[in-house]
Amino acid sequence: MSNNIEKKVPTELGTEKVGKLLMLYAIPAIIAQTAASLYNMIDSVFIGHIPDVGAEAISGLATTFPFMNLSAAFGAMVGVGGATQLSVRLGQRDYESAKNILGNLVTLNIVVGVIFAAISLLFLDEILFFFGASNATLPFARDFMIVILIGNPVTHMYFGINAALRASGHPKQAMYATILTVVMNIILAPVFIYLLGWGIKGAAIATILSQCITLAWQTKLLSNPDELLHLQRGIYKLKKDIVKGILAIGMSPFFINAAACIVVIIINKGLRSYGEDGDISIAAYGIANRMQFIFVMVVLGLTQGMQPIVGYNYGAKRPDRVKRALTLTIFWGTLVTTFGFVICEFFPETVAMAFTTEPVLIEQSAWAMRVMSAFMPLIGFQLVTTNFFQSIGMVNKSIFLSLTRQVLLLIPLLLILPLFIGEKGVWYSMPISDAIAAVLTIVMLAIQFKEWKREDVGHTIQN
Amino acid sequence: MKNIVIAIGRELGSGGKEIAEILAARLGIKFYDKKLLEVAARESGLDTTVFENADERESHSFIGNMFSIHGSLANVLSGGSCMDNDQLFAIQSDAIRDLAQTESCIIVGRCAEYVLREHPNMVSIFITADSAERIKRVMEREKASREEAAEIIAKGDKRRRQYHDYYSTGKWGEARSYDLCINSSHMGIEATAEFLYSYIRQRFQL
Repeated sequence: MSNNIEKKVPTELGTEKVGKLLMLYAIPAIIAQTAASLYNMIDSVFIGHIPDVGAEAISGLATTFPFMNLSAAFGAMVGVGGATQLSVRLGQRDYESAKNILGNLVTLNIVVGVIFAAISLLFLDEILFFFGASNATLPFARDFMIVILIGNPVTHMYFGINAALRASGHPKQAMYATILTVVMNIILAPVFIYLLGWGIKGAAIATILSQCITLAWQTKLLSNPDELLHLQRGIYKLKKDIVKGILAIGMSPFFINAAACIVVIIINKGLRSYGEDGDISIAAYGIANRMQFIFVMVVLGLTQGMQPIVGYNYGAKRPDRVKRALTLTIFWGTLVTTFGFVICEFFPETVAMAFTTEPVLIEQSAWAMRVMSAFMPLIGFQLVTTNFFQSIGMVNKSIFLSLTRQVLLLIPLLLILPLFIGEKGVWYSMPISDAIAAVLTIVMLAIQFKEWKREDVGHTIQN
Repeated sequence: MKNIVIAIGRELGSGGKEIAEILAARLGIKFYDKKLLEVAARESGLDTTVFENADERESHSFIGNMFSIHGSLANVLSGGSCMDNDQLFAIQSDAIRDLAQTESCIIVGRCAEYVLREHPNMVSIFITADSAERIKRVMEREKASREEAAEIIAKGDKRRRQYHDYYSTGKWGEARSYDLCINSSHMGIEATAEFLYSYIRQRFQL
């Protein structure tokens, strides 16, 4: 029975210095996020430097991004749902139920991965056209996606098992797995692309192969019979209750990732129909978006570090520490995105040259970066505050704020602005949505603080 | 003698809490329902209201975690470290296990029969009652009309079921999840408690 193996509450959250805690919790998360964003960038960088391959390949690659989002959506559905259930069971030391969840997680990943790949391969050209490909860019996108899709079950397994590792008390190994995959991809990609001359296909093969190798290592880790929770016979048969539970939890992460996919499709489509040269514009968006993404990911890592500190101290009624953690995180978050702002505004050509050698594309993506990053310092603040509301259990506010910037404001702007000012409308939509969302966020945060102040005053009067 | 713990699940308005109180008095042991939250709060250093807000509710704040639209899969999966209901439930479960370790007691609700499933002397009981009687009881307690009472019961049962089935592996109110299921309408609160008392006496040869 309960030997009090480990208590669930890290009480240092209520006593240790806030700044130190933030560092302790945020740095691993930031490393993981940076690795994950690099992961998305590597292919873009290497493909951009294939000799004689120009903007078409990069543009083709950009039209596969929504595909990646969609695949990630299905992966998140199974992975998040499974990991959540797993950690609830492990919190109760209910290893019997946990191992069945682990087995079902593996099976579901394979099933979903195979079905997604099969349907996508069947309608590959149609889907890619829908995502913004042209006759010129389609062959590149197709070459890349065929390999990626064949490897899709592996990709899903890799992410799923990593989630299981993290949930079952091996967050370090999960992080090593992420880093290992990125490093292998960085090594293998140039070998396959340039040395072996496989071109854009080589990038995809490098991606999948590094996942295969990491997956083998993860599987070995999780097969260790000394572990209370490990891969074993008889756990893989799908059970209705478990599958239902996984999907119920996994639905929302699915929709969020699916929404991201839809936004990129709308942007690509807008650029294609209003742009002079749709292919170049789409490629430029791909590059600029990748660049912004890194800084956003770093901030998200930072907020992950903030969450337990704010969550605990809010619960322990320590508003001073909550406020301190929030202001500190906003400061660092804004610093990160301001740094990104400086790079994107003043050195965008240099950045663009990392992704392509085509002069037209360099010019266009530099312009895109300047426009898209116009209000970037505000994004840091916006992201931190959004996550802050979530950490203190005000989920609806958090959901509302994160939807405003990326969906509620952005999609209408993307659809309406181009009607009046053409292609520029697509580009301007993004910073405009950032700015409005930031204002909304400030207002909501101010209202919240006022409310707390009133409650405080009310308490003192009552006492 | 080792500690005896009695985990009691109940439909809203079934008189389960009253029965538990009488039973506790008869056995001379402590009775915990909402008081559990205070124990959990004391152990964790968190405020009681945090546990009250999460009490017998399944996790929702986790969903918010996913709402980082920029999130790639990796990002989404590395999140989830804030104080969500899942974590609070884990803390509360620890408190329940600690209690069961140190004293004989009765615990009402909070998936106690699942949390304590490995306790050697655990008795799990589920108490139901006829619908008319439950409505009457809730009308009196909440000063509500018949319709309101019916609604309170429907909502309360639904919430308890979702909470229970999310956090434990058995099904709420289903016979196989408990040692004993009993309808309190037939014998009334007192006699039902008395019956349970004699069951426990016989079972543990008190």
